[in-house]
Amino acid sequence: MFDRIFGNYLVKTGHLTRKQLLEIYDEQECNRVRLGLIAVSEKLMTIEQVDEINKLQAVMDKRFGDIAISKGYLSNKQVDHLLNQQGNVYLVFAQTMIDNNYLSMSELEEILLKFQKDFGYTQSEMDILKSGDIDRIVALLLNMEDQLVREVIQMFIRTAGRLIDYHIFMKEAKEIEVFDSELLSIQELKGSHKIFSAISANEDAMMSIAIGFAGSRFIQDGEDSVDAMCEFLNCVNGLFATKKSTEQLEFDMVPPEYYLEQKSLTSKKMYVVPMVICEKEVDYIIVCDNDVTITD
Amino acid sequence: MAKILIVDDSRTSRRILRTLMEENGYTVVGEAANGKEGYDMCKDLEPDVVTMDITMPIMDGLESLKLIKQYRKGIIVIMVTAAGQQNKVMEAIKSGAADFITKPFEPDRVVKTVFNLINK
Repeated sequence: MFDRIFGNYLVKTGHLTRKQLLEIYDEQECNRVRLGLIAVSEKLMTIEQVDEINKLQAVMDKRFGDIAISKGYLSNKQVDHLLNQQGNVYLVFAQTMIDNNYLSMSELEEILLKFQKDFGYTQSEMDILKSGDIDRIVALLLNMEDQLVREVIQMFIRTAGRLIDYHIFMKEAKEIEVFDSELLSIQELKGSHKIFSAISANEDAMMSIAIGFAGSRFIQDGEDSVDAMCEFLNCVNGLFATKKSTEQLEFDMVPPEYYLEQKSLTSKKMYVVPMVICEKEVDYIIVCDNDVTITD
Repeated sequence: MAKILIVDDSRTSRRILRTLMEENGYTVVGEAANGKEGYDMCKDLEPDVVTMDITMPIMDGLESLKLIKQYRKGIIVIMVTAAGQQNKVMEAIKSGAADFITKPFEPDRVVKTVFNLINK
């Protein structure tokens, strides 16, 4: 995620053009080797085992390495070895930028220090950002007390990263009472806690992320896109409910709904997390244990 | 070829399932957007297989399944579910559902499940 956040910072501060940044991302993508491929080439797993895990990942909120361990295909030590082989996403990004002579190593270090100062991060927080560990990065960026809300957002980002766009990243979350939506997909969870979640975006963005999720042959208009994003919310919330069931928390999923016209959402305490998915801006809205009113 | 009825409140999911079924030679005789519609269409269209989403408005998949199995015991009902609904899936199996498939759809698994149940 930090490659995206820092990449945008570089464009905003004039160190890179948008075109250069996109070129770096393309090249970086070509350089990224999937864990399964490394496992096969290192003869630690068979192609069939890798396929099996890829399929399981679509319905389980678990990393490739975790499933491989639980299936007995890999040991902890072997997963660590594969992760080392795969390399850190941010470092691949930095390396690509330097190899293309867009920035020198010393310029990069200088800009990183400026970034750290601009956002007030400590060195250990910078280390978290560069680590590639989504849960720790999200926790740092959200900087919120409410653990349940944080966990839902982490689940959303992990699931979107797996099912829609690996390069999803979030911006600063806001706590508000009123939110005016664009196209809107919503779902509620009821039970041990009441959790309302929603995705709002303009039609162009909603179409892009829906196509990323369901495929272009199934998404033809705005209504298809909000419907597909309802299904995506259903996946996120289902995975969240499964995870919390191990902590004796029970959730019932309410059928998701969508709105094609602008709505105003009101609640005592509502979090809005701007995200960039498939290069488009969308808002993820989350409310926990408070009522939400939806009006025209 | 077997006749399929798709019951799901999501038009995207219905479209994906219809495409998968038709591409594999099955006839989709109808689509319903909730459990009540699904039950009514089941009586009218006499499908061999029903794919039944669990979480739907008006009437959920579990209630619809129970009504359908009361109406015709031998019909094959496959539950469709997101993760996080294990209890409901278990209840559905106890109530006569033949199997379940999960969202987001994994095409091979969907087709294999339908094929295996029809050719049992």
